[in-house]
Amino acid sequence: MTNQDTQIILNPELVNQLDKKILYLKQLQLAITTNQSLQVYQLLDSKKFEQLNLKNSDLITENQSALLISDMQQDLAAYLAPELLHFMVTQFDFLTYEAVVDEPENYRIYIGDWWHHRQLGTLNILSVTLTVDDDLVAELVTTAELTEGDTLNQQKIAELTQIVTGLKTFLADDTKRSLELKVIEDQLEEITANKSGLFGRVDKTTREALTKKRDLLVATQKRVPEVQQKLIDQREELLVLEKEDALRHLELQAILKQYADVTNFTAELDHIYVTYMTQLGQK
Amino acid sequence: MNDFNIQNYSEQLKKDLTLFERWHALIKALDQTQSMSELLDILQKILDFDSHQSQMVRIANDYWFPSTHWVTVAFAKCAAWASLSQTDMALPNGQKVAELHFSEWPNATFRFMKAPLAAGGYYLEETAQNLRVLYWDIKRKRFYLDTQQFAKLVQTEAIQLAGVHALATFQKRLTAIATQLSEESYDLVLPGLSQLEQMHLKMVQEGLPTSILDSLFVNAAKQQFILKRIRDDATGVEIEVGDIELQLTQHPTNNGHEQWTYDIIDSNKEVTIYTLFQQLPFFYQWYDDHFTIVGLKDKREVFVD
Repeated sequence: MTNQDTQIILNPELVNQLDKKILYLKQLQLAITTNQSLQVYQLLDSKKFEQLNLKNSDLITENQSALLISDMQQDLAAYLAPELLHFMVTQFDFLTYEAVVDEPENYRIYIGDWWHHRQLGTLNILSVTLTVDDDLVAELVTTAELTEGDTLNQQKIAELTQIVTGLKTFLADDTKRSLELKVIEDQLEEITANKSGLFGRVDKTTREALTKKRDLLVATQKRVPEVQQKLIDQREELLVLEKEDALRHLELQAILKQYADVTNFTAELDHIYVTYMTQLGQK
Repeated sequence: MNDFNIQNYSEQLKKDLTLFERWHALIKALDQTQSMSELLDILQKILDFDSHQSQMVRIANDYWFPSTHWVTVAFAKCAAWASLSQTDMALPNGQKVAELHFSEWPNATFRFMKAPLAAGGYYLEETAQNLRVLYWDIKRKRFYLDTQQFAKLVQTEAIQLAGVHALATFQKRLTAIATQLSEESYDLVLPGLSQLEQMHLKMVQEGLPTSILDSLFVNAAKQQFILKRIRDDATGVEIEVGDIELQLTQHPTNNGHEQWTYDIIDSNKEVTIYTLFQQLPFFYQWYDDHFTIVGLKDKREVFVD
C-alpha cells in the first residue's frame, strides 16, 4: 500500500474529527452570540453537564473538544462571570466577592461586607465550584453548637481580661509607689542625719527595714516599662480573640438568617453548579 | 499724712470718682447693650479696667467681682441672644462668680474660669465635673471648642438625662454665638458643633492603624452594630445607625500621608458627632480610648489642665 492509499483510508476519519471540532466551535460561537450561558457551560464540560439530566438543546459535545478553547479560558471566564456572580449574590445575599488579580476565572468569596470579612472560599467561574475554607466552616459549626452567648474564645478572653486588669492595677499603683518611695527616702535621710543621736540602735533596725522596703519598691518600679509593654501585647492579643469571635458571630448570624444550620448552607454551596444550571435552564 | 492739703484731697477724690464714673458707665452699657460688637467692646474695657488706679475709693466688699464674673455676665447675654431657650444667671451664696443655667440642661451649671495661659482667655466649664466646653479669648478674638471634654460632658448623667433634643439645642446655641462672633472677625474652631457641618471632621493624627479599626469593629459588634467597608469610591468604613451613617474615610494629603475624617451622613441635618457620642456608648468609649489618634482635631494647645 502506497502512502497515498493510506492517506485515502484515513482521510474520512480525519475529516470527521475536524468536522466535530468545527461544529463544537460553531456551537460555542452561537451560544455566546445568542447569550446562551447554559449551552456555553455544557460545551465547557459536557460530562459534568450530562450528569444533571437537564433537557437542553441538541448539542453534540465531547469533553475533549473543550481542549480546543484552552487558550480562551480567561476570556470565557470574563464573559461568564457577571451572570454567575449576580446569581451568587442573589442566591446568598450575605456573600460578597472580589476578583483575583490576573485570574479572571477565580473570585474570592467572603461572608458579609463588614470590616475584615473572612474569605469563605474561591469561586471558579468556569467549573462553577466554590472551594470552601474547611477550617472556617468547622469553626462556624462548632460555634453554632455553643450555648447562646458563649464563644469559642471566651475562656481565653476571660483569662486575658484578668491579666490585663492585673497589669492595669499594677500601673495604676505606680503613683502610690512613687509617693511611698519618697516618704521612705525622707525617713532614711532623717535617720542618717540623726545617726549620732541617742537612738542609734533603734535607728539601725528601722533603717534596715526601710532600706529593704525601698529596694523592693525600686525593684518594682523598674518593672513598669516591662509591664507597660506586656499590657500592650496582651491587649493586642485580646483584640485578636475578640475580633475572631465577633466575626464568627456575624457570619453565623448571617447564615442562620437564611438557613436552618451551617450544614444546610454548605450543602447548598456544594450544589451551586446544579442550582445555577437549573436556573439557566429555566430562562 | 503730715501736710493735709484739702485741694489735693479734692483733686484725688475727683479722679477716683471719675474713674468709678467710667466703671459705672461700662456696667450700665453692659446691661443695656443689644449689640454683639458693642458687648465685646464693653467687655474688653471692663477686663482692662484697673480699679487700683483709685487712691481713695476702694471696692473691697461684696460688690467687687473678678474678671471671670464679668465674662460670665457678658456670655449670658450672648447666650440669651443666640437661643430661644432661656439662659439664667445666678450668684451662689458666698461666691464671687456668677453661674449660668441653660434651660435645655436644667441639671447642669456652667461658669467661666481663667485659662492658665500667658495669652489669657477664659474657659467655660460645667461645674459638677469641671469639664470644659470652650475657650474664649476676648482680646485676641478666639473662640474654640474643647472637643475632648465636650464629648465627655455629653456622657454625664445630667446631660444624658436631658436627652438628644437638649444637646441639639445647646449646640445650636453655641453655633449661633459663634456665627455672631464670626462677624466680629473671630477665629473660630468648633469641630463637629454645627449640625450643618458634619463632613470632613479631621482626626488628630494622620494615618489610622488597622488595630484601631479592629477595636471599633469589635466594640460595635458587641452592641449589634456592624462596621462595614464603604462600597463607593471613598476608602473607609461606616456604621449604619438607623437612617444615619457614621463614616470614617481616608484622604491623601500633600505630604504623602493619609488624613482620616469623620463624616456624619444625615439627610435631616440634625445629628452631630456629639449626638452619636451620647447615643452610642461603644463609639464614645472607643473614641476616648484612642483619643490621641482619633480625637477631633481642635485647638488643643489652648486647653491646658
